[in-house]
Amino acid sequence: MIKEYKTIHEIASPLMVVDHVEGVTYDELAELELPNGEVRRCKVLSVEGDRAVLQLFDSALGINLAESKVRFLGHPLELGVSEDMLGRVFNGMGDPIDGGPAIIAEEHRDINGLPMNPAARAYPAEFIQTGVSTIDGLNTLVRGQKLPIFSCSGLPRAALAAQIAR
Amino acid sequence: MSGRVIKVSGPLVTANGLQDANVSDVVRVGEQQLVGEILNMTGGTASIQVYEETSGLGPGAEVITTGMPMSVELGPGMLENIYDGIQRPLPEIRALTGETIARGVNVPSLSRTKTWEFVPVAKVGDAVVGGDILGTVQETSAISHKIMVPPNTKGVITDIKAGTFTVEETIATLQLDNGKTQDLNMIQRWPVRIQRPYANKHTPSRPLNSGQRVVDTLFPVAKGGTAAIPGPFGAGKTVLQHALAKWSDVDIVIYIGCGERGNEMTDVLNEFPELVDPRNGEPLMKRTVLIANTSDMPVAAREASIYTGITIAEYFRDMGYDVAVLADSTSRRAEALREMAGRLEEMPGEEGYPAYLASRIAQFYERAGVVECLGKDGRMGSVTAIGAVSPPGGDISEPVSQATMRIVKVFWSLDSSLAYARHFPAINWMNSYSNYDDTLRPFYDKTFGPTFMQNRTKAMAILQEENELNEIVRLVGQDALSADDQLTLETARMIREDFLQQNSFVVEDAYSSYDKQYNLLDMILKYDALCREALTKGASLQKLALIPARASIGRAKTVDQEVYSAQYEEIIKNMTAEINAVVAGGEEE
Repeated sequence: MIKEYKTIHEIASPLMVVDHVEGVTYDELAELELPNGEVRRCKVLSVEGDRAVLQLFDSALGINLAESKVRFLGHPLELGVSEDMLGRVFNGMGDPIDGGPAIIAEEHRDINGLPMNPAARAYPAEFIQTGVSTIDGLNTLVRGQKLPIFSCSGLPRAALAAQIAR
Repeated sequence: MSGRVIKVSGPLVTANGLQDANVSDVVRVGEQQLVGEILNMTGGTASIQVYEETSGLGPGAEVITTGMPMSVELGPGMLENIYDGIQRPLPEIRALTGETIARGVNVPSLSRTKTWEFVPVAKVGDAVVGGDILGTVQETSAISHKIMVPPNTKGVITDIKAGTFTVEETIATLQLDNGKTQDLNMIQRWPVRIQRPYANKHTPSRPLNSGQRVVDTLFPVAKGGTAAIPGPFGAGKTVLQHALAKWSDVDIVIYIGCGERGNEMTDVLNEFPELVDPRNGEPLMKRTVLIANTSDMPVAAREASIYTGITIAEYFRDMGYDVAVLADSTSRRAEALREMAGRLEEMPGEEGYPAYLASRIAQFYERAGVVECLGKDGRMGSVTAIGAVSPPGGDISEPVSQATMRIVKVFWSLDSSLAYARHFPAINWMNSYSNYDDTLRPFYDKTFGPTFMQNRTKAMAILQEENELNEIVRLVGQDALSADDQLTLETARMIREDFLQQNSFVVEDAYSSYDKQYNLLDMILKYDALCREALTKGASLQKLALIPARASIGRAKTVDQEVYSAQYEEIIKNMTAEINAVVAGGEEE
């Protein structure tokens, strides 16, 4: 049974303190239900005794301390993944924003992942052709490598990233 | 003895009910048995740093102390292995949990099933003290692992066996002075934060031959010495560390990948088994222990990885081996310290690093040294500590670089402008230094005669002069210089391009023996001396610069190790003849 707490002690956006909680664990995902039925999500940053500090993923606008309810979901932020995700558009929380139907998950995965075992890695050696001549010719991208694009405001980094993705 | 968690904040967990635990004990936290270490205690409340991801942990979870400080298992089976920061074998974890590292895995550091052929050298009735060698195990084809009496143990051997054993089986029994008997197996446990004891410390007096010309000739590090490699991103810290790990003339290499990229560890894992040690023809992996805490692995274990590495190094040193510890990078470790100090709400020092940053850095480097090992045979061993430092923005005025510079005696300053100019290894000869040149001078004088140090001083002087001349050239142009000064620029260029630059992808050039280095530099300086003499006789500098021997000197570094001395003699003979011809021709004009 999931308990609902109406014991929000303090909100200082984006942090929220909830008192008298039980069985809450670090990094757990929680839902905040506003009196008007709107649901916002947050996660546990620290627990000390029966007091939990949470981080809100949305704004704190319009939250009523006395009437809002908090539900702890008992698992860290997970994402339902499926092959059907190809070709879809999502927001930062993994919800579809392209107007299509919700994804039927094949598997739920912790978004924090687990560290990769260095003994299990293969050395990146496969060339990725991006079609951008300055990358392919001079600063080659290799499968399994990471490549940051350093930029300043006003430079077309998004266009370049989109070109590489294409 | 168990307590309960009261607070979780990232890798820092607070628990109460631990009155009987000791500071620095290893604890197991929660259902998943996460590994942690007690940092400090207030009454029965302990602050614990957990070496694994703590999500899903909450107040009320059980904390069990093992009653032991953070320790490593030392014995046969470490070589060729790859460990995480708290000495868990990664290949075995892979067999258990697949591609990723699941939490709370409990695997012994040394394989309990693998058997080793133990050959005793001590006999029944021998009185032994800590450090004495009981017998040997041929751990890999390159290294014979010496099984020693653990430190602080003294007694008479009442039984010693020969044959094939696992690490846990008893190989010898001692009658201790107090009348008790003690069974010894091949495992020694040692707390990582405590230095292993030795009999005496000596001044380092032998150079570490790394096969890198700029290192060995200009900025040598002694065996048992300390060195730092600071440099901005992309200047080649890791590549230089790899080169040192590959070619150094030490018996054992401990490579600590601390907070760096996982792919770099893979590179080592792929490359080392294939590379061959130029001294004994064995694969380099046979003498290597890898410790990996890559940047995606938990931050608390990063701090521990440095201690784990240096403790393993000290153990091999105690057998009488020369060991090199390469830590890449000590900056990541300092950042790990900063992260934990922040969680502990400690008073921040410079740039947010804890106030004890400098002493922690010193703790690592101070465990290097040449020592006379424990035991009655008076064997000598050494640990050389070489750490990479990655100062943000390449600015070495930041605290980690400064604290490191205070302790280390060799400083190889990597320079991004050299790296962009494709001058590798990109060690800047103007602001690097080695304080071992005086302690090593007797060695060089004995091995190569006094010319070696003279040549070195001369080469440094020429490079220094080039720097000054370049400023004049920028103002008035090269043609305004005297022929003598122009020759200096020419020689400096030869020292830079034909001597200091080294291509690690060319097999003959990747490793340069001391002898070859000495002869190569000597040849370049001979060219300089002969040309200078020719100039006084009125020869033209342009013609001197164009003699065919110049091109041969340029190719001389890639001459094969086996045949170089004959070729070098040939080049010197041709060079002398050609310079003489120019002198003769000049007089005719």
